[in-house]
Amino acid sequence: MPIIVRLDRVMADRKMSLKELSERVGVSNVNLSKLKNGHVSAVRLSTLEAICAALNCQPGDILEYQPEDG
Amino acid sequence: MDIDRMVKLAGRIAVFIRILKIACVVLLALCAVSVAWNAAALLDEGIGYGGFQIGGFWLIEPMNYIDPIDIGLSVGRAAEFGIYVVFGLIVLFELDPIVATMREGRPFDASMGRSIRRLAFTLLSIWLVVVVGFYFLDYSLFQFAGGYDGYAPVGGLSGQATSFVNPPDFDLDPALFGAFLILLLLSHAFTYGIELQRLSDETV
Repeated sequence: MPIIVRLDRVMADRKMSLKELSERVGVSNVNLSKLKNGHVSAVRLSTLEAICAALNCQPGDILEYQPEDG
Repeated sequence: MDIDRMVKLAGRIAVFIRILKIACVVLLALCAVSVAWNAAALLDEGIGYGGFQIGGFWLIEPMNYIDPIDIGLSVGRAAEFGIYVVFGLIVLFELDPIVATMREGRPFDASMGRSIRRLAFTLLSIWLVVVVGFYFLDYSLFQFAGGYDGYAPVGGLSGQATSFVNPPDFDLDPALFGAFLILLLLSHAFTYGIELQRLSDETV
């Protein structure tokens, strides 16, 4: 999928663990891990909003569009 | 309907299915006894002393003289009834995985569409056997019963006129075929539901 999730990068910048983020966002550790590793097919706007609020960032900091080659 | 209610209902249905299975096994045993009893009476020297019927005529009759035609018919009827019971058992066993999935609280599990489609085609097979198979079986039964011990052969397959029994009606049994169509449609609806469930599972 050409949408890359850069959650790990933003989390590293903010020095926030997955456990802490999951507690702040209210999404399970497992689901956040899936999101971080790009194993989800959709993200709810409410989840994105909560993540942005917790990490104090913009949606564009987390999601990146990379066109596929060819 | 919330998930808990569905799970509870599926649990009750599972118990009901278990009871029906036991009832089917008991009926099957009765059919076997009936076939054996009447077949033995038919083959006995004192032809016509029978009387244990299921699926059409008497269940237990005193051992007085009974027309061998009736005994022959009762053997066939009991066997036919037994086959119906076996069909019932097959359907109940096909229902098992569907109810089990519902009990887990995940009706849109990947296996659900397959299970419903398999049940639909089981019903179609039963419908074909009932409509086509039993029609000819009934003809054969009349011929067998009529042809025994000096009686003139009767029935469709013998090619002679039926004199004392009417040929079986050709029943299309639209309810069974309708159930097949509905289940086939449902299986496709479930396949779509399964895809929606997968998307929902993959959404955070």
